[in-house]
Amino acid sequence: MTEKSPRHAVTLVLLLALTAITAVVGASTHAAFIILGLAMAKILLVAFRFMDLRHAHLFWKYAFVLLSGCFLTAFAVLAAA
Amino acid sequence: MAEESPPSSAIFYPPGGLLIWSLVLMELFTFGIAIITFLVSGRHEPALFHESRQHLNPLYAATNTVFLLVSGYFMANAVERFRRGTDARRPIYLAMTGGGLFLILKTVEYREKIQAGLVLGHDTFFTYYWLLTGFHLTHVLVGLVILAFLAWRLRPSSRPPEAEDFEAGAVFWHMCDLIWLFLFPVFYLLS
Repeated sequence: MTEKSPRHAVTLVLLLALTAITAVVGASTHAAFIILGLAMAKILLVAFRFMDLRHAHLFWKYAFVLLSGCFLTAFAVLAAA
Repeated sequence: MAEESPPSSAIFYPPGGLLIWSLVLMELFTFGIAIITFLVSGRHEPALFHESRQHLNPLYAATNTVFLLVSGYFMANAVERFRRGTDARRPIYLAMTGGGLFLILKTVEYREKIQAGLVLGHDTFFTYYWLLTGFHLTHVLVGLVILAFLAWRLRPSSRPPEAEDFEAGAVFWHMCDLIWLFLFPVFYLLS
């Protein structure tokens, strides 16, 4: 078996846990905001941990967080309206 | 030992390079705008979108999410191994397996939709569904070709790829996860 980074393993467990949580919040009152908030958490985990965005210049971190955050907020507002 | 990549903290050298991160932001922007138009269309035809969404199987989509996330985990391990100068082919093959499983399940899902007559142009919802998930699937296919190429370049008899090229290939693969994490809740979970 391949050598595995414990750091990446923790990230994977978090990602899978967030995916499982997403499945059980589907019927709640503010489902759209919760579901898309969880999606944002997963997107940030993938970008910062798997894609090494944490090592990038602040410009890239802000650009990524702003872009994905603005879109997911827009999705939630449109879905909840 | 793999050649060192430039310091990623420099503004022009994000991990994987300027070009691939510009592509990531452009892809997220493109899919983001497309999803907004999808949601706006849904506000004009709420009954149709609600009814059409009932034909989608969230279990397939959740399983595909798991396949892509696990695949991304193996690709992140491959990058670490490559940086350490150890053989990264096995985690790449495992990452490709995750991508392959995604393709198989997506094919099953598409087959069911086609058999039910829910094809491109059936209604507004399914037009967006086919265009956006199909465009994402194309990215996964391209990503698999890139991973296969990287694994091929890592053969003992080959000259290994440059560090930045390897990282760029990995970033492209993770970008497929990111796009799917946009699509999955919007199509399959929001009602």
